Formats: sequence, C-alpha cells, structure tokens
Amino acid sequence: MSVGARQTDLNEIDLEALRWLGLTERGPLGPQEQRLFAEWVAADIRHQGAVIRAQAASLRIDRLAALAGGHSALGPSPRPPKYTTRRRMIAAAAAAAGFTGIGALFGHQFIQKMSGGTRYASGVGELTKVALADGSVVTMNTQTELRVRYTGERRDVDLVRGEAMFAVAHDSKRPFAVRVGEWSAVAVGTAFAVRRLNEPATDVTVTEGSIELLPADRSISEARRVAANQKAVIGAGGKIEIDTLSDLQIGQQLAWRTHLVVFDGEPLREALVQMNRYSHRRIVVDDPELAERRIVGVFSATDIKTFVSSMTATLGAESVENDHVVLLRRLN
Amino acid sequence: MEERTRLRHQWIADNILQWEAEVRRWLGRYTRTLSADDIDDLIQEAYARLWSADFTQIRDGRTFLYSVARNVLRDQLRRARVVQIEFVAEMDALDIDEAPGPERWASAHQQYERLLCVLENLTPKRRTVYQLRKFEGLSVREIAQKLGIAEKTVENLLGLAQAQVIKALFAQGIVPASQTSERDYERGSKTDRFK
Repeated sequence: MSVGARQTDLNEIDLEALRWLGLTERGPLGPQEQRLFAEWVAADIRHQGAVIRAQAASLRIDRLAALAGGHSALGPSPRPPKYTTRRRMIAAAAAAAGFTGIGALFGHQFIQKMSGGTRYASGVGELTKVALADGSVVTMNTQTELRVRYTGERRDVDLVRGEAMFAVAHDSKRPFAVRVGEWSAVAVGTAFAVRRLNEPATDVTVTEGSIELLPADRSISEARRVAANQKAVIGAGGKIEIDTLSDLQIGQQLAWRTHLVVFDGEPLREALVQMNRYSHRRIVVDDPELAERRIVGVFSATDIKTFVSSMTATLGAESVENDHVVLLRRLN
Repeated sequence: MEERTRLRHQWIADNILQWEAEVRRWLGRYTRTLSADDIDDLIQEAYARLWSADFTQIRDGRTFLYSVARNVLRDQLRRARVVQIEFVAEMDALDIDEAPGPERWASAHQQYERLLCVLENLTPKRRTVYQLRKFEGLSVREIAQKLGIAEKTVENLLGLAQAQVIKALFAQGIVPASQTSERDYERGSKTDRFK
C-alpha cells in the first residue's frame, strides 16, 4: 500500500485504536463491546501496541491541557475564559456563605479579631478562601498567615508567611496593599498572587490588571510596575527581577488554587520541598542519585499516598513509612 | 482504568513518547526499503512489546525504545517480512547517539505551544468539541446539549480530532525542531559511512 492511498494520512490501526479509546472514555464498555474490543486487540500484536500508544499519547495531551490551567488561549473561545467564570463563582459563593460557611468545603480558616485588624491563618494542607468586607476574595494556600486592616482610606493586608491569591474588588479611592516584609504590592482592582516562603525569595505573580511594587524605604529601591502575566521575584538586598510568563507557566505557578501541584522536570528533592508544605508527614529521600531524578506530573497536593506510589512505580524506588516520615529509597 | 495500568501508560507518556519521532526517522534512514506503513507497523509492535517490560528497571526511555524497535526489526528481518536480508549484518553495527542530557527535552511549554498550533489547524467543529472536552472538561453529553448536536456526532468529532492531534504531535516531533535538525545532520554523515 502506498502512502498516497491513505485518505486521511492516518494509519488504519491507529484510527481504530483511537475509536475504541473514545468509547472507553465515555464509560465502561458493555459486554458485547468488551468482547469485540478484546477480540480486536488479540487479533494482532500491532493492535495491542496501537492501543497502548494511543492511551499514553492521550495522557500526554491531557496533561498539557491541564497545565494550561483551563484556558487554551485559542480564539474565538466558545465560552468566556474559565478563570473569570471561576472567579465570579468564588466571589458569589463567598458572599453567600459569609466568612466561615465555606470552611466545610475548603478547610477551617482560623480567624482572630485583633486591635490591629483581623488575623487569618490556614493550617497544614488547607486551602482556604476568605471573602473580605469589600468583596475582595483571598485564597490562602497551606500554612499561610495574614492580617487584614481596612480603614476609610486604605485596605491593608500583611502577608506574614505563606502564599495567597488576591482577587481585588475595584475601589479607586481605597488602594489595596499587600505588605510582604520590606515591600508592598499595591493594586486598585486586579488579581495577583504573593508568595512568602522561607526560601528562596518572595514573589508576586499578576494575572489581571497590574500592581505597583513599592519598597518601604524609598531610598533603597524604586517602585516597579508588574503587569498581567508577569512575575516579580524579590531577591536578597531588594533586587527585583520581572519575567513575563506564558499561560502555561501561570497555570503551573497557581495550580495550588485547585489543590494541585504541578511538576515539569524538577528534581525529586525540589518536588519533595513542595509536597511537604502540604502535610505533617514528611517525604524524604536519602539517596543522592534518586534525589536528582526528574519528576513530571500533576498531583493532588494533599494526596501523599498517590504521589508516593507514582514515585515508586516510575523511579524504581520503594517506600518505608511510619506516622511521621515516608522514606523513598532505591530498589535493589 | 485500573490504577496500575494508568501508571504504566503514564510512564510511557513521560518516558517513551518523546523519542518515537526520532526512532521513526532512525528507522527510515537506516532501512531505506521500509515504507511509512512498515514503520507504523513496527512502532505499534514495539509498544506492545515494551508494555511487558519491568519499567522500574529502565533508566533511560530513549535507549530502551531504540532497543525494542531494533529487536522488532531484527525479528521481522528474520522472517524476511520487510527488508532484504543484507541489512541484518548492518544492524548490529548501528548504534545510537549517546543518551542526551535533560536539555534535549522539549519543555512542557514548547509542547503546549505546539499543541495550540495543531488545534488551530483542526476544522472549527472539531476544534470546538475538542476544546470543550479537553480544556473546559465538559462531558460528551454536556457538549452535545450545548452545541445542539447528537452525542454520537460529538464522539465522532472527538475521535477524529484526537487522532489528528496525536498524529500531528508525532509528526512535528515532540523533541524541539532545532535540536532535531542538528542531530539529523550528525547522523546524516554517519549514514554516509555505511554506503
């Protein structure tokens, strides 16, 4: 058969494998279909191989789609971008549920009224959404603490530690300022995420509109503007680096909002630092070679069990665990 | 799908797929009498064979795929199914380039950009259905209702779109184009020595 004879330029067997795959995606096959499928697979080793290949390729594409964070950046989109929809939904849900009602869904945030404002804290592994008095919504990732103080002129938030995403309600008369150490991210109405971890640095990622990054001490640095799809990293000595991110990178960076952790070739040791933020139980690796193996995958932030079983299955490792620690080591 | 099976598919997705385009070119270059169809057959059989391997023992997916493909080819040669027998002697002399470093991987970002390009080339109907399913996460039923078409039609469109996307991803190569051409060049000079 010559190549030109193919109408679709697609291999017949590959097409048939994909047709079956499509049927299984819809739901479990009926007994009759199951029998036909088994017969087809058994008829030729190439059929079996084509099914395996198609399954793997589908997973690869699904992962790429997942990394895109739900919007495909293709126009014209049949629906408004998902992000906006999701945000509107969150705002509506938060408004309806009040301050603590959402706790059942997202974990119980700790709220404490203080003289200097209100303190919010999330525990280990918790994803917490808080609706503030002005309609702004804060999503707090694991182990995050912030203080909120609103006056007639200002909306001040102090990010003490952790990571949070702010969807700021527009109010041109009252700027919304998130203080992180020596810097403030100031917005009027926009969406951005701020991360303050032990290391390596503090960073701010903007998804809508723009913010001003202001130093507490104006004599040391100048104010910098960070626009949508940009990420500013505040390094040691107040050095700021601003990078433009693709939709995919933003999706990966902010995957935690859907309780996911995304790895795209990071070494295992770095992946473990990320995973361990979400759990009291720590995953450790004592083999230096294993620690450098690269990880690709989308994982549930709090599902250690699946993460560990994926690692052992793909890295040729085994796990030894007790109540506090899961040790990954090489299988010999 | 059973979890263990899913993990095995995932392993293939992460460790094998990106080398398929390269192995196909390698097969095409060294075995000039192989048609595109022969290579399709060979690759399908290679996937069936590698499925039974113990993945935990495999350190390098690229070398692994090369060796499986080579074994399939060797067996087919013995059965004289595809190419003349004189290739057998040459085959043992064929070796692949040493394993590439991590920088040879296309980043997920590059792969994603390529996926978008592929989607742009789908017919509008296929693209809409595919986007709703893969990016917006709607079910077949929801898509059918939303677009006012039969579920069967949605399934057909999805199948065709998926086939086209997979085909295009392999055709464009999941390894970055610039690095591929550089390696083609290296390998081209090697081929000359065999002539």
